[in-house]
Order: sequence, then C-alpha cells, then structure tokens
Amino acid sequence: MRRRKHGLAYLLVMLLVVTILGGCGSGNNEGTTVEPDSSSSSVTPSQEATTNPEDEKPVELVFWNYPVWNLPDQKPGEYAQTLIEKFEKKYPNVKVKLEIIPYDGGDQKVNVALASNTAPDILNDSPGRTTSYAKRGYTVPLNDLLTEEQLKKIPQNVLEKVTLQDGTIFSYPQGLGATLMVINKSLVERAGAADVLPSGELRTWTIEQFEKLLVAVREYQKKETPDHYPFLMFGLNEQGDALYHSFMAGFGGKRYTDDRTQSTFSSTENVQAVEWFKSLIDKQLVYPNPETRAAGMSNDYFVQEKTAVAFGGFSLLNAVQKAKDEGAIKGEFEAILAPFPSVKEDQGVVIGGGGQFVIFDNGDENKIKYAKKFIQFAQTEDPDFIKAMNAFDVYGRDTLGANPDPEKLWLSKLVTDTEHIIAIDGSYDIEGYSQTRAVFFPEMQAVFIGAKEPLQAMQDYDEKANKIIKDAIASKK
Amino acid sequence: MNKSNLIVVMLKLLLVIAAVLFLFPFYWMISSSFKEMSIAFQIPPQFYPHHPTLNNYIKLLDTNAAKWFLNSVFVSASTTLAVVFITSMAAYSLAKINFRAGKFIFSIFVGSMTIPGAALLIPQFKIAIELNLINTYLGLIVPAIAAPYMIFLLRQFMKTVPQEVLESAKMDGCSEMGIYYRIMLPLSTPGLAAIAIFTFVQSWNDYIWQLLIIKNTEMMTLPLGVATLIDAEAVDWGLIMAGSVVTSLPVVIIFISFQKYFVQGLTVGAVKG
Amino acid sequence: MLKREFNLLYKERYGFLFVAPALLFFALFYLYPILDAIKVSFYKYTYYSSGWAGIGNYQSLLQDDVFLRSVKNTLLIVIMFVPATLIISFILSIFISLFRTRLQSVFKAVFYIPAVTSIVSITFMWQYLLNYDFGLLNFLLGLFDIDKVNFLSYDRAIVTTTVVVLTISLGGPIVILSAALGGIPVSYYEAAELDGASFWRKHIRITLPMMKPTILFVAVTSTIGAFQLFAIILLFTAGGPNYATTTILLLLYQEAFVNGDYGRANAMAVILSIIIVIIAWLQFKFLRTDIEY
Repeated sequence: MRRRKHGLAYLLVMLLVVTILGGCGSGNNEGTTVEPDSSSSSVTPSQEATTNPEDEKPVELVFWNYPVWNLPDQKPGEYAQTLIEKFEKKYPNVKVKLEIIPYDGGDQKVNVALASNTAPDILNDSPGRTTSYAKRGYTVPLNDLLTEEQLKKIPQNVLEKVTLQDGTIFSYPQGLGATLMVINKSLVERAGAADVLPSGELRTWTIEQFEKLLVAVREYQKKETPDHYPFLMFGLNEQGDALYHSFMAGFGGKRYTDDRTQSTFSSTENVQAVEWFKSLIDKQLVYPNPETRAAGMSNDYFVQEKTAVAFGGFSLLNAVQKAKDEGAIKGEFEAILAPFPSVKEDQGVVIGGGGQFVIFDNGDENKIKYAKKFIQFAQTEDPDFIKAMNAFDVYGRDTLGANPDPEKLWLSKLVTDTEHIIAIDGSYDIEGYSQTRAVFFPEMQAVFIGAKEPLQAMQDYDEKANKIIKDAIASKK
Repeated sequence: MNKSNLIVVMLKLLLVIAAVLFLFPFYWMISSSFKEMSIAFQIPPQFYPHHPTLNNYIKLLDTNAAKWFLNSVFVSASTTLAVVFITSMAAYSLAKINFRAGKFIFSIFVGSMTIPGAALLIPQFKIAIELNLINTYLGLIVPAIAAPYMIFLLRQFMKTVPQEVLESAKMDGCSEMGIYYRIMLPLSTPGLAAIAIFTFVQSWNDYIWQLLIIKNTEMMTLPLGVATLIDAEAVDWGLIMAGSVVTSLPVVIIFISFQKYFVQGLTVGAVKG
Repeated sequence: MLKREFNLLYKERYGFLFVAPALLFFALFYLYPILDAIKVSFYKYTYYSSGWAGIGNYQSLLQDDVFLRSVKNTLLIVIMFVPATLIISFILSIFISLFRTRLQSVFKAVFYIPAVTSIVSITFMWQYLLNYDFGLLNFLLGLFDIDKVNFLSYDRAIVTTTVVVLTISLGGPIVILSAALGGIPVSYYEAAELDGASFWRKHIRITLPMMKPTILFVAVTSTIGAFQLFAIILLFTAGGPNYATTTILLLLYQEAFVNGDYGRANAMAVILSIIIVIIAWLQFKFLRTDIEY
C-alpha cells in the first residue's frame, strides 16, 4: 500500500467551509463594491506617524497572509503587495517580506512555525485560530495602539472577539462582518408562505415563523420535488456548530456564566433549542441524518435550490449570483439575508466578527515596534485598505462607495444595531475552547441519532466542557 | 464452455466493473475541470460538461503554474534518483549480505515506520532548520532520501533472487560492488521500477512538507501553488479540479512509461543460465 | 578477543558500507525525531506551560474512554482491511497476469489511478454514490423498491469507510505483487505444467511461496497504513457519528495541532507504535522467509 504522507487537500473542504460560513465570525469575505471615496470620519492613531531619525537602521519584517484582500480590479490577495509598497514608501528603512499561506494546512504551518521558533512577525488571520495563538502566549498585546475614542467606537462584539479574559487585546479590531441566514425568497413565495418571511426594517422574525415557513415549503416540495426538504441541518464535524449556538441565543439561552468559567449549555433555554432541533427531524422538516452532513453541503444544496433557507452570509449570496451568471440556475431565485430568528418578534441574532492582524513576539523590540506601525498604517492611514478587506469597517467608515448594493447596505446597518440585534457569544476566550468544540458535536450527533435525550446530552456536554475548562484554567500560571 | 472458463469470464467482468469504479473519480476530476464553478459540484452530477469551458485552465496559466510544475518535476525527479540509488544499496546489504548487525538495522528501519508521521513533523522540521534547508529545493529532497518503506520493499524483492546466482558470481571473482551493479540491479528491475514510481508519487504529493519548507511563491511546488489560489470568498471547484488534473497528469505518465519494467519473466535464464 | 572482533567487522565491512548512506539520512530524519518524539511524550503541554509529566500522559490516555474507543475502532478497521487487501490484491494480480502485456499495464494503471487522483474528487464520487437523498446507490435501490440506506449511520459508517479506503489503496499492493510475479521464473511454471498441475495447484504451490517476502511486505505495510488512517476519515465522517469512526490518528491530530498538547499526542503515537510493532512482529514470525530457493 503506497504511503500517503499527510493527505492531499484533506482540509480543503473543512477549511473552506469555515471561511465560507464565516465559521464563528470572520468578516473579511463579504464582497463589497468598492469605489474611491473620501472617508468621512477620522480615526486618529495613537502613535506618531513621523519617524525618528534614530530609528533609521534597516528592519526586515516577515508578514504571512492568506490569499485575501483585493480591490475590484485585482486578484484575491494582490492588495497585500500594494499595501506593503505604500508602507515601505513611508518607512524606507523597513522591508516587509510577504509570504502567502494557503488555507489548506495554513494553520498547521503557523503552529509548526511557533513550535520551532520560526514564526513570522505579522500574521493576518481571524479570531478563533489567532485566539489560540494568543492564549499560548505567542502574541504581542496591542492595547497601546488604540485610543479611548477608538475603543468607544468599536462595536462591543468585535472588541470581545479580540480580547482575552484579562483585557489584553491580542488582535487588531478591523474587518467587521456577519454570518446569518440566507433565504430563497422566490421559493418561499412559490410555496405560498410569503407571509411568514421576516419583516420590518431589521427583518426580524420568531422561531415560530421560521417553523411555519419550513412547514409551508415542505408541503409545496412534497408535491413538486418530494426528495427536497426546506432546510439542511449539519453535524458531521465541529464546523458549523455556530448554527446551533445561534438558535440557542435565539431561544434566549446563554452558553457560559458571566465569569467565563462554567459552561451552561444545559440551561432551560438551550435545551429547548436542542429539543426544537430534534423535533424538526422528527417532523421531517429537514433532510434526514444530519449527523452525516457536512456544513458545506448546506451551501451546495441552497445554490442548487434544494433548500429554502441556509446558514451563511455574503459569500453565499455571491455563490448564488455566480450560479445565475453561469446559467446553472433557471427560473426565479431571489436571495435575501435575514438574522436568525428568536423568541421575540423584534429581536434577531447574528454571528458577528472582526479582528485580523496579530503580531508574534520574536524577541526583537525593534521589529515589534515596526510591526505595530505596519498594522496601524493599514487600518488608519491607508484609505484603500478598508475597501480591499471586503468587509465593513469597525469605525463605521464607508466601504461601500457611491452605489452600494442594497443587501450590503442593509447588512451594514444591521451589524451596528445593538438594541435589537444580538451578536452571539464568540466564546473564543473561554479556556480550553477548541477542545470543547470537539466534544460538542458528538453530543449533538447522539441527539440526532436518538441515542440521548437533549437534556442528557447537554448535561453530559457541560460535565465534559467544565472539566476541560477547569483543567485549562489550572494550567495557567 | 466449461466451468472454469465461465468463472474466468465472470471474474474478468468483475474486473471491468471494478475498473470503472476506480476510474470514475479520475474521469470526474477531468470533466469537472472543464465545468464552470457552480455546476461542478452538483448532485446528481453532470456526467459530461454540458457547456464545457477552458476558463479554469486559462485562469491557471495566469498564475505561476508553469514554474510550479517545473519545480515539482525537478524535486520529484531528483528525489527519485537519489532514493533509487541509496535504498537499493541498503536493500542489497540487508537482503543478501550476511552481517550480524544487518538484522538489527533492518528491524530499526521497519520499526520506524510504525510511528505516525504527524508526531515526527516538528522534530523533522527543526532538523531541517538546523541544516539550513528551509526554503530550498534540497529541503524537499534530502529528508525523503532515507525511505524505510522503499528499503523494506526492495529488500523483500531482492530476497527472492536465488543465492546461487550470487555465489557463482563471487566464484568468478566479482567484487561486492560488481555484484551489486551487474547482477543485483538488473535482476531487481521490477522492484526498482516500483520504487521509482512510488517515490515519485510520494514526493510529488507530499503537500504538508512542501507547505512547511517553501516560503517563496516562485519556489512552490504544484500542489502547494494550486492551494494558494483558493481564496476565502467562494470555492472555485472548477479551478481546483483543473489544478488537480495538471498535478496528477505527470504522475500518470511516469507510471505508464515505467510499466515496461514490470514485464514477466525478466529473470528467465538467470538461474539455469 | 578484541582483535577477533575487529577481524569479523572487517569481513562484514561491505554490509556496513552499502547501508551507510541510507543510515546517515535515516539517523538525521527518522532516528533523532523519533527519540525526540518519545521524549516529548513524557511532557505535558498546555497553552500556558510545559513540564515534565512522567507517565502522566500514558496513564491519562489509558483511562480515557474516547481514546480507548478509538483504539477499538482502529483495530476493527485493521481486521477488516488487511486480510481483504491481501486476498483481493493477490487474486487480482494473478488475474491481471492472465491478460496480454498491454492490457496488463492498462489494468495496473487503472487500479493505481486513485492514488494519484485528488482526494477531493474521490470523496466527491463517493458522496455522489452514497448521498442519502440523491445518491446513485439509493437511487438504484429505489428502482427495486428497497428503502433508502444511510451508509454513514452509526452502525454502518465504519464498514463503509473501510470499503472506500480499500478502493483507493489496492493500487499499491497490486503493483507490488505484480512486480513480484514478474520475478518468478517462467520455467518453474513450465516444470509444474509438465507434471500436470492445475491452475490453482500451480499458484498455490509455486506463486504463493515465491511471493512470501512480498506478501509479508504488503501485510506489514497495509497494517501500518490501516492503523494510521487519517485524511480520508477526516473528510468522510470526521470520526463520527458519535465517535463511531474515530481513529487514533484523528485524535492525535486534534491533540497536537488543535489543542497544542504535543506531549499527549506523542504518547498516543508511542502507544500506537507499540501495538503495530507487536502485530508486525507476529506477521514476520508467521511468514518466515529464511528459505532460499
């Protein structure tokens, strides 16, 4: 048997799914139409922009970036080079070496580099992965880069994502985004369920409404396309667990205690959410056997008009558009965004996100200083950068240009509404978080296959998660 | 048609069905590379592209793909050459030369295969750093040279070479080097061909190690380069498939061209003379 | 005494000389890393600290339900996979040899192609076949009025996965066994035919024994491979549902690269390695190849 060393594109599907679904909140893949405009709000950096003559000795920085960032006329990833050129012009004594890392295995590459002391100076990635690097003490705190003024402007859920429990800001707040639900409006209308679509300025809806929509669409599908179902739940692996977290928030449940040391997945509201999910399976309103479905399948089925609602955001809208352009979709397919439903009519849930740059501590004071200047430059001194990020701006600066896409415009308003929209608890800061994720989805699978009752599964989960958290806290010095 | 003939026919039929099963993913990979993105991953799939397009390949050409291809060829070919030489020498020693440490060394080689590569990744990487192999082609070639799997395989092949052949050569005054070069190697051609193919494939597809070692885009190997084309925005399966096709084709070609070394009966006449 | 020793070593010098280059590279890239990995297995790595743990990792693993479950799953896969590989590839390589040389090459290429096909394509094809809603297999079953089957269910997942892995890993053994077949002098068969041996007789009496070394190789390496299955399982079932297909490697990868606990991960590697070594040793004993021809 020939020996396959470490798999080929084995992470392709998984990692791509994470980024497509914005798995727990990265915002940098929301495509925006970008036109040059004059920034209306000013964001003052907290460091001087002038260089001191004594810092003229040459500095070389290594910058790892995934293939992202582009202005409309560029290829994905091309803007990174543009940014570097601009920065080097301003600081001629600094050379920044750009290395592109692929999504497939990129995380592993960073981990090995950290373990062998060959990490880059700057990395651009999302919280979740970067949180775990920060927790292990590899990153440089960035608190000194933000003024009081800035901190006030940044949305709370973004700040939470980039801050550790002790208040250290480990990642630079930028690139606001959201993951929510996408609805095939045309299909719902054909099914005669237009009345239960989310309504109002913020398009909020109740869980009851959501279920009514599923029922109506299913009735329609039974006649037209009996093999189809309105919604695809997934549970193959830990990608996409945010789907369940979002509905738990919709039911009003909190997943952790305020002191962040205990998991409360077995609270009444959370268990209600899980029971409700199980009921969807029993009522045959979703594709059977969710425990065998990968999160990516949800996107594919939605684009192929095999479901009416899906978990997603801008990437999914773009995928639908592309399919239309390529002629894969015949007939009407109007896709709209909507927050996750909740128990209250005027309340919605989204998965927020933001945060990108981290600086690794390689022991060189000078490099750290200039690395900080670099990320500061990108976010506050380069007007094109926030557009190249293809996400919303945490300070509310305009990234959409003169002719904004109406859905994008709507989303930009949604993500800044704090009264009616709940952004779910990102929970990356919880000690031992990534291990708890690995324990969560088997419990959900047990519920799906009927091996455990929802309450039992969540209690078992809490027990395991609490142990993980406790051990992780104990190992902190 | 008697019974055994019928069985043979049925089995040949089964063989054909199995062949279809094995070929389909490859066929699908090729046909998808000619499909536009959104169509490529439909279930049920389009068995042949209804609207074939060369777009994906054009996109590929717009990148560094040609250079990546050449890099891969260079690395894999060099690795294969090095491995064939060094492991054939080691295999000969362990198969045919009687020395006491031989058995021990052999068991160490085999034993080392039992530790999963994932556990060795970081220490191997650290050694590569020490030897200054980071971001070099050598960094891809050198660590692959001691290949216990290949040594094990060749040694087993060489064990079937009859001892008398070697004995008579020695009696004719052949040196050890001569035996190795003039007798062992020619007799082991099927084995060497197998090693060559496996090494080439393994080196070509060794994605994780390439990912760790190479930093510059121009030096990337083909699998690595293609991976960097995938951005977060939307999965361009058509492009990925095109990349996969280009990545797999050379290997298939190598495989087919090495087939002639597998011809049965190569050793005819070696014993009786 | 010492002089005699040196004399002997001098006589054996060619053994060392021929194996030396390989040994050098091996020491650098295998020996040292293995020793390092074993050393690390006695440490505890968490997000915040790393420290000596003695046999702590081992103790914790042997009491961990999930780990023990993964050992059981892995053993199950091995028991299904290895004999199947041996038998099928042996029979297939013999039958391939019945065809003309040209066709032989074609068949061998066909069986080997999955090894060079993108794993994404392979996964896709199987998802197409096995997809519960729209897949080909369930579609065919439907034609015969049979209920749809969930191939990745809790009970079936491990068998389904093993079958899939078989289809992509038969190529190597077939190539190897075919090569070994090519090394058997045709004269042996001719002699047997003169004695009136039947088709099966010929192969059992001649082919089987002459291919023992190679069969041993396939047995050992497919065992090692089966024990170390990771990539395809990750893509197919991610170890589920509910740990039904979690293998040791899956846990190891999670532990090393997600949780960052290299110590625990390496302890798993060592335990795995010990299990494989024991089995491999038994295989060597059973398929002794000291007989010369």
